Amino acid sequence: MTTPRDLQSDLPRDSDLDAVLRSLDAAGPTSDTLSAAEQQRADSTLETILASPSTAPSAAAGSSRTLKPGAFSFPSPRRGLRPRLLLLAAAAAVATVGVSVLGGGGNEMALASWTPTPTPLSEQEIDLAGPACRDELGEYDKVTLDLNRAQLQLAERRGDVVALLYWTQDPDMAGDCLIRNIPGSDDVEVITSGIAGSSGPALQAPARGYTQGAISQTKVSGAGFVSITSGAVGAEVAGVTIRAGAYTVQATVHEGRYVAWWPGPALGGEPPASSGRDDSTLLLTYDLTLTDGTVVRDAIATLPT
Amino acid sequence: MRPLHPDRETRFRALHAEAYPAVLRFATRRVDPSHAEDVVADAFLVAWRRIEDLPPHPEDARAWLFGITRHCLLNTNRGTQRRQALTVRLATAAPADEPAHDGDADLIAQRLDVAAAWRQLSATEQEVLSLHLFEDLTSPQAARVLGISAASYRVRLLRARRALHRHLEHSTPTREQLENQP
Repeated sequence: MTTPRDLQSDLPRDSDLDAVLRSLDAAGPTSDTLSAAEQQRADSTLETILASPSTAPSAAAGSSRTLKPGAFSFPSPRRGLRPRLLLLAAAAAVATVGVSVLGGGGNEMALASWTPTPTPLSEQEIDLAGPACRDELGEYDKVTLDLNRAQLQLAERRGDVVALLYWTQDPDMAGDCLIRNIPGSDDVEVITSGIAGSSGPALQAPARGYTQGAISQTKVSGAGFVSITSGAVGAEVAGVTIRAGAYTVQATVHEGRYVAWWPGPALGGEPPASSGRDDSTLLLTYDLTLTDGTVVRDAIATLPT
Repeated sequence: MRPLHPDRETRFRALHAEAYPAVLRFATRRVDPSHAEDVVADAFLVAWRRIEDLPPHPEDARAWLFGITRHCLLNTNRGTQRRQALTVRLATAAPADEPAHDGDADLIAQRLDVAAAWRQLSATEQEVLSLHLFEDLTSPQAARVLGISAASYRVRLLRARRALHRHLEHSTPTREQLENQP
């Protein structure tokens, strides 16, 4: 009978095999030295992590609100919650509605799993979360997104939360959802959703620039603030990093669009009142990584004219 | 009162500096290389939030990080069923850019055989072998990564080795054919 002790025996065959297998190591020859590029990315990741909370966000009771600087809002009854419709005082009206759907301690746990770097969703995950998001977006009655034409532009995961964004180019309308889904689970629950856009076609971003789309800040019951923003990037933009207070967020960038969300606020100061007065300040700054490797820090957004 | 955060940050920075390359290699063996750094970032974020659990010994800390990384990989499973083990990739057995020399054919055949046998192993078998061969962990450390006892790990390692031998015996005759060539 063979016992675990036999593992200590050093059979030539095993040692030969071990040598061959080690020569086939997918990680290459043993080395604890990173390339310069790897080291740079590792350092960046380290600082991003250290800038994030080292513990779960503290619970905070509250209601839902979705904000856009310079906007006014009014409530609209829906499911007994407090969605907001926000209109920009601009020639091309931009509207945002948002609602916090989910309550309970699950939010805090899901949002605590947030990661600065997203991972793309698989087809199976999209098949799971997509219908839930589309159902959610289909219930908005003040501002609507043509779901028959809307295409899924972005689908990412950060921890136990997936983000989806459906978008039409003309008119420039986007609907987003943050959905709680433990990886490998079939359970999906919408945490927040929102619709934003304008009456005209999407604003084009310059090749080395970006547009700052709607910025939604929602207070989720039991889990503090959650913010999400999206927009367009130019052809030479490979990455977007958004700094929002203590959070540094690597956005998902795909086919000229970006989206990012984080479990924290996007605005500081007093939130806009229903009268339209807005004493809040935007916390966000943007760094663009261009395809040639150049990093444009504190990049200025292209705004509607 | 002693501030806790600077101490936590110092420990985490030291951990990151020491273990990042090994964790990156761990991930590279188990996921497409284009995603490896993302996985490592996730793993270190979890480690930052669990820094109080960091084992004091560096080798144990490395195994602790491997365990976190493994969980991150399992949690990002793309199927509807959560996996219990991770497959481990091998490098290409016969690099196309290496010039041929005498004896290369035999070596390449041997590597092809071993690589083919490896692919026939279950994910569990690949994992236990990898932790010994590639991550160079002791049985207690590897057991900690897998969340099992050291004794169970040793048994699994033995079974995995046997399975590898069995697959080699029934593998393609390429190597033997080459050895029998005049």
